[in-house]
Amino acid sequence: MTKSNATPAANALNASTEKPVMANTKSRIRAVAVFGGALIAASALAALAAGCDDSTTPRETVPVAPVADSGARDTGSTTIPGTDGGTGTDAGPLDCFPDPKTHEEIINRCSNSEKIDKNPTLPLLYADGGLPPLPN
Amino acid sequence: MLGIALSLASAPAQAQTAAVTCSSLQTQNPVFLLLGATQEPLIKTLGKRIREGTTPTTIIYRTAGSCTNVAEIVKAAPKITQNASYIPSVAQDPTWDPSKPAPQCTMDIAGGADLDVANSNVFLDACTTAPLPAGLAAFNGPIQAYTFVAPKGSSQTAITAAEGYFTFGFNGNGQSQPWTDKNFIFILPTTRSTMLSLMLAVGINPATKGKGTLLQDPNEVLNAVAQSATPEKTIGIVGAELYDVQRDKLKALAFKAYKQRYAYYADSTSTSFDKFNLRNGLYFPWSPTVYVTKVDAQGVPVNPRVKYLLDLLMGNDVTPAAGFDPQEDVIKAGVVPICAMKVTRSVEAGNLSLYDAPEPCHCYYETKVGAASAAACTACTNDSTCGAGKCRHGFCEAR
Repeated sequence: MTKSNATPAANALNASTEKPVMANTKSRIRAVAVFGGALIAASALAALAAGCDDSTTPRETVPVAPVADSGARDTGSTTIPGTDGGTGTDAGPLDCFPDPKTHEEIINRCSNSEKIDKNPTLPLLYADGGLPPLPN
Repeated sequence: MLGIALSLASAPAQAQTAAVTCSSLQTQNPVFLLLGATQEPLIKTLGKRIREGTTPTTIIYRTAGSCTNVAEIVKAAPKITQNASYIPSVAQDPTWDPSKPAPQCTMDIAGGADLDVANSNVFLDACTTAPLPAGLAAFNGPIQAYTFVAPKGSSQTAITAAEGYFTFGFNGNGQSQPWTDKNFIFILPTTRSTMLSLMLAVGINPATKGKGTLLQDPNEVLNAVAQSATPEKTIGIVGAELYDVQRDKLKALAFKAYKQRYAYYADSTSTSFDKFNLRNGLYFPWSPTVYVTKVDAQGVPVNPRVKYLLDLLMGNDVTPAAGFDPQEDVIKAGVVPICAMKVTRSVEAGNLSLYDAPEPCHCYYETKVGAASAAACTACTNDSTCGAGKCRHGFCEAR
């Protein structure tokens, strides 16, 4: 029998430590650009070889403004383009991860599953893409 | 296909046999449980098997919200004080099967019956941040998916986490089209796992801030959504196991989590039952089924009948042998055995991480649900045909 190892108290601790990390992505993107086409081509080939149904490579993450909190769990302060949960702040090219390791990679892993591209316009979003607090 | 034989539990349990008293069942190896409604079909099926099995046990239960159940078992003397449903023996009702409502016993035990097990279908941290009292332990069982649903007549196919935040967090005033009228946004009490899991998945925390038209039972939500005269504006929440047996009446909305590029169904397609995306991390709103019971100093359930039941639910070996494969019942009930999962999490709506089951059952699961990937599986009767792998549940697994 598998006993749950995490007590509620421990779970609460885990939750508090799962804060997203803000990445200095501008410099990273510049660095990526140096390697340009060769890197993209190699990554694309790797993705295809791994059976990825999206033909583009995983991309660097870029930060969006911190979420205005509502106590929300994991609504995130980092995102990859077009992966903002529909906040409409980005609409970058397709991405998937053939060998995911992190949460963000796992939820964007490559698959042959039916998928729906949806990026709605939500008027109450803050200009920076953050979520407003919930009303009482 | 999945769930064909399952009860929809669409009506309160009704007595199908002559009324019996709960005290009369105390001589029949009872286990008293408080269940979340999503797990009632599974417990009825397993209860029927063990009622006539090698270790005859009588399952006696009531259903309530997950957090209500947890709040009861942490009391100093947890009880079931009202009439309860029970799984009858063949002698008590030769015609009963799990597709029928369970008969009820009249609670005549002075002070109520001692509660053996409380079931929550969300992580306990979604109900309380307090640790369990000494002498109690939580055991994580099969995985339950939850889903937003819309009427068949709706043109909507997906919902993003941010849309969910504005739809449910602003009581229909969140300008999240087309879900802008609270009269067509159907929710459940925040003691219910379905409500807790889905509200937390969209970032509404606490879940009590989720608003809409409050209904008390998942089947009420299902019916309200399915029968809405304004389908485009209508949205509701249900457990995937309930949706799976009602797909002719409504449709699931694919879900796009924060940081996710696309929206996905719990299954690989809108019409499959393989829970591929749930198992692989592409579908975000899910929780373990959690069973809380009294344990000894070694963390073993003090009631051997409870241990037997929980071992069946977790897929552990039992002695004497059950004579059936409980994982088949788990799968038919629409939940996913942990041994078939490839991702895990430690808190409700928390980040996912990769999971490598110590005794995997991927091929067994995929075969049972008709997944296309099952074609690549190799049937076996022992390890000799599995190379470096192991033969488990009749199929070669990597370990």
